[in-house]
Amino acid sequence: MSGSALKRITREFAEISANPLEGVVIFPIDADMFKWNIELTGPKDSPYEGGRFRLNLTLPETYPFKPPVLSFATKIYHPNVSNDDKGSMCLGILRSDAWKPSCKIVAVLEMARGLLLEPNPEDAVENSIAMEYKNNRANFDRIAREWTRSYAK
Amino acid sequence: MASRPPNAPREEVFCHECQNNWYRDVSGIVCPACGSDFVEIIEVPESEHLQAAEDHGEEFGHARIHRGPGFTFYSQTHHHRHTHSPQHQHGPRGHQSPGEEVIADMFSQMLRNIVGDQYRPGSNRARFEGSPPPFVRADRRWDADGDEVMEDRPGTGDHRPSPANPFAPAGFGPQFGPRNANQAQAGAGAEQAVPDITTFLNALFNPTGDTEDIPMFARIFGGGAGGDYVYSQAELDRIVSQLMEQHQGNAPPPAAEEDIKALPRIKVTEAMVLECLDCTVCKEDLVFDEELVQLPCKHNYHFACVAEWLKAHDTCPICRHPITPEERRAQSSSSQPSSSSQHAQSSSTQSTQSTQSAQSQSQSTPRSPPIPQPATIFSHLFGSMGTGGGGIAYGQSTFFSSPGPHRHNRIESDEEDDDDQIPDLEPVDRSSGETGGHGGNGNTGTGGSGSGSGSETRPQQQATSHFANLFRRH
Repeated sequence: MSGSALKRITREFAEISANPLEGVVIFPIDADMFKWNIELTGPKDSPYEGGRFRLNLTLPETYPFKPPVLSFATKIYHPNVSNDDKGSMCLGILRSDAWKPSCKIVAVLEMARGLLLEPNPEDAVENSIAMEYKNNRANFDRIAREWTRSYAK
Repeated sequence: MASRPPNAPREEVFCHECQNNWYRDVSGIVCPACGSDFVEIIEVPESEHLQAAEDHGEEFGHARIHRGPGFTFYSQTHHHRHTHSPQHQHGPRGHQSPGEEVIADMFSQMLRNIVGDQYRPGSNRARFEGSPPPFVRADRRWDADGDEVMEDRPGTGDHRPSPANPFAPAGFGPQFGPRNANQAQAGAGAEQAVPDITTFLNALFNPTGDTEDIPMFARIFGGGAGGDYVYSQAELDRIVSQLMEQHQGNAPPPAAEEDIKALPRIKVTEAMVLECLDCTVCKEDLVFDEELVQLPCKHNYHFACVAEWLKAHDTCPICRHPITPEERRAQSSSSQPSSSSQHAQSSSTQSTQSTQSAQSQSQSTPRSPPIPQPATIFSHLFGSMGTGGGGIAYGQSTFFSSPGPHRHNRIESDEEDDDDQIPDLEPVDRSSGETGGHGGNGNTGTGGSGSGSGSETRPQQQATSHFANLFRRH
């Protein structure tokens, strides 16, 4: 299957290169089309503004039958990103039960950027951060900004 | 206090401003000394004055900690003599300063919470009066940095039987450690097992046996004391995630081979080519006269492309409509556990059509091979959620003195033989009747009664919402 996977990935990469998403830069790792390095720019009017977040997008061999795996290499204070060395993000279309082959990488990246603008505390991996986001927004913003300053340069 | 007439339970009032105390029926509820209304009404247990001096062990044994499945902690009588009754005799260890005793009380309560496992099912929601149960605070503390300790905790997620109580410290007998579900616990002997706080502390900090590598405290708070108990949010998360993984989420089950093969074939028409349609799986543009299969929802794909997907999940790659005819879907869904509910929630951005079909799909979940154990576990998780809201996480409090076998709050599925054995704890009456003297001393309520409740309810909400999240997610 990886032949057709590669074909589709290459096609998607071409599409995305022709129409880059705002705030998203993609660097495929050399010849390996199954691993993409991505840099997200923190959206304006979010506590992540000014930050540059490195993400790893890993496409499974069975893509598009299995969802891509997205993880933050840059530490980020966000309810939907695990606060560990993995920085994994698993929600929405990235979950295997919600994934559909018709979803595209573009949609995944759009979702990731959308989450920087508007976290989804109802579907959090970091519950304490989600609580902070919901109940103490000012403090959430403050910490998120601090982390952005410290880590997302 | 000593001047009180023997038979009349009188309400005593304590002033938090000036530490004054008086009887309510004499001076009302405004402090006669300083005029403050920051006062607390204290019910004085009838026989208290008869037992001025008491051993700590007994005190621990009779304190009023009550809990239901929502882990209720409260002491009805917040009577903290140490803070407002300077003439009170301190008993055998009267050299303790009031502060020390407060700590000792908190500590004893904490240990009670940790060690025991008795609870009263199905009643009140959590009520928090007085200061928070200390173990919850400690729990938070370990939450933050206890991960490493947790990693090598034995048997927290699965239900490995814990053979011989791996970290029972000397002098504590079988109570101290994970319960063995197959063995009644000796509850009655527990009171003697806690002769005094010193032994207790010694046992905690100088554990013997195989606990040397990890301090008792780390085990208690970091890892959740073993067995199927957990004491921290992180650990609970880990267990539930593990269960979810075993359950393979609620991804749609595969479609049957024959149904895939039976899909109608169509040829690509000129109109389709002109519309620049593609196969949404491989993203290749359609080529004139090419053969496609058409799903019941009228979406077309290359056979090879969609077959690969359908073998894994019986949904249309675009709209999630299953290809299995409805009659058969309905049939097989009846045998499924109902935990699959909302896996379609994330598709809200799609068309209404897709949302609808996704919902109908979620009701059906046909033909996935039954995975009995996790499913059973889920139903139990759901059960506990229904009654208690997160009781599992902060599970256990008990009386040292409680009689009989108590085995409770298990995630495991052997409930038939469990339910009958819950001693019917009517905590309030029980403790005031039995304890005589120190009825209410379990909680350190007097000093900061207000401050406790706020910080207290949060972990529970957190646990509950966490559950909600998890189940929504899968």
